[in-house]
Amino acid sequence: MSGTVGSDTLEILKGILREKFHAEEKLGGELEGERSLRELGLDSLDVINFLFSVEEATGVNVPDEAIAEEKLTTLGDFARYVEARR
Amino acid sequence: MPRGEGGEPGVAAVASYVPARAVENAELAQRFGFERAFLEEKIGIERRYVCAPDEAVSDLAVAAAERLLERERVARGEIGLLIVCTQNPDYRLPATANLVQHRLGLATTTAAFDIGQGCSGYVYGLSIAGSLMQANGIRSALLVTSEAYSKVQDPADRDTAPLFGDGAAATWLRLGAPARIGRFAFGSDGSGAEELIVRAGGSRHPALACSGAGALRMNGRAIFNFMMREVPKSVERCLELNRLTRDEIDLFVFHQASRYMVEALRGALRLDPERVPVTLADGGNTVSSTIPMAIETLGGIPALAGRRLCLCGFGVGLSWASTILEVEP
Repeated sequence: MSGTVGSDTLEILKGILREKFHAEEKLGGELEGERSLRELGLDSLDVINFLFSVEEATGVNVPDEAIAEEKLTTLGDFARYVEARR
Repeated sequence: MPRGEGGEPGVAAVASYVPARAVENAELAQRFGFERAFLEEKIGIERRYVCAPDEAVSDLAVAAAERLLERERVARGEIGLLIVCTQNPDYRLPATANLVQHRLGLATTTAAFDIGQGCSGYVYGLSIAGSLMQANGIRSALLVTSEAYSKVQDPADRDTAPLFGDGAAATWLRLGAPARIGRFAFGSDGSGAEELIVRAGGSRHPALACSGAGALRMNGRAIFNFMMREVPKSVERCLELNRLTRDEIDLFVFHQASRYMVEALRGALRLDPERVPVTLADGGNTVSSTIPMAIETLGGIPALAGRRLCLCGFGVGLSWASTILEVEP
């Protein structure tokens, strides 16, 4: 996926990563949109939890098929997907 | 609950049993390429136990019940009700409870039947047992949760292999027992039936083989979402029904699905770790037995004197139920 993403959606996702997964502490630096969720320290269980939180916060469900078909891997990919459906 | 002759139905004791064969994390790490740290820290299980090929759910149930009856010196003739909770009965028919009643030497006047619930089954079972005891003047009852998901697991399925373990727990209920049972909050949502399912072996697809439609299938993400949406609401409703607040609960004993699931619930309900036991390291997710096994791990009913527990089971169905267990000082 390409294009710019609304900063508020990206910030919501970053907020979830900070608050729930302490991603910044683990990473030892700022969260960047082009990092993959795995690089941000999330394993398969964390991804499930992250997507639940994203849906709770934005009302947008990111189905497994979309992750596979649209090749969503980075934080920015997820933010753009959610942004387009809010 | 209204007070009847001999007091209210309550929990007197629990005892559990697991089969001899243990599947250690090293074995799963080798078979599926899991990292040991993932299994230990995230799933929270060190080993799970599996039945031998000739071992069935009634064998586990009888072993757990024998352990309880002997330890507590219960006179078998006084048991008036036996409920076996399982989704993998020995046979399509008859009910496993009839087999267990006979093998335990319980009276032929015993009310004995199965309930087919999964991870919510213990809490449902407490309600059914308590209600039947009150309605029929039964003074002493056994609730036996017994499960062997290994019998329906696809050995190659990495989603379910690390989680489930076989085992049974027997709970002795009697009128006036020290752990009083509160009111119940129940839940059911069959729209999620596909998320944790064995498709074959029932009346829709009678043939059962432990692969393809005969194997257990789980959509872990859907189960996680269901848990996060429904369990906190169920706990709140249970507290309301019992006119209690969160602060008045000493321990929240959740179905031990995995460490990650229990921790996620703890986070959602904003509870301290000391109030949310995680007890599945030795034995894994034994489905309907995780709650009574947790009670046993915590030292059993005597060790919980003066404490108030909120119990919540949830899972396959989708089905869920919560109640309060209040142990006299």
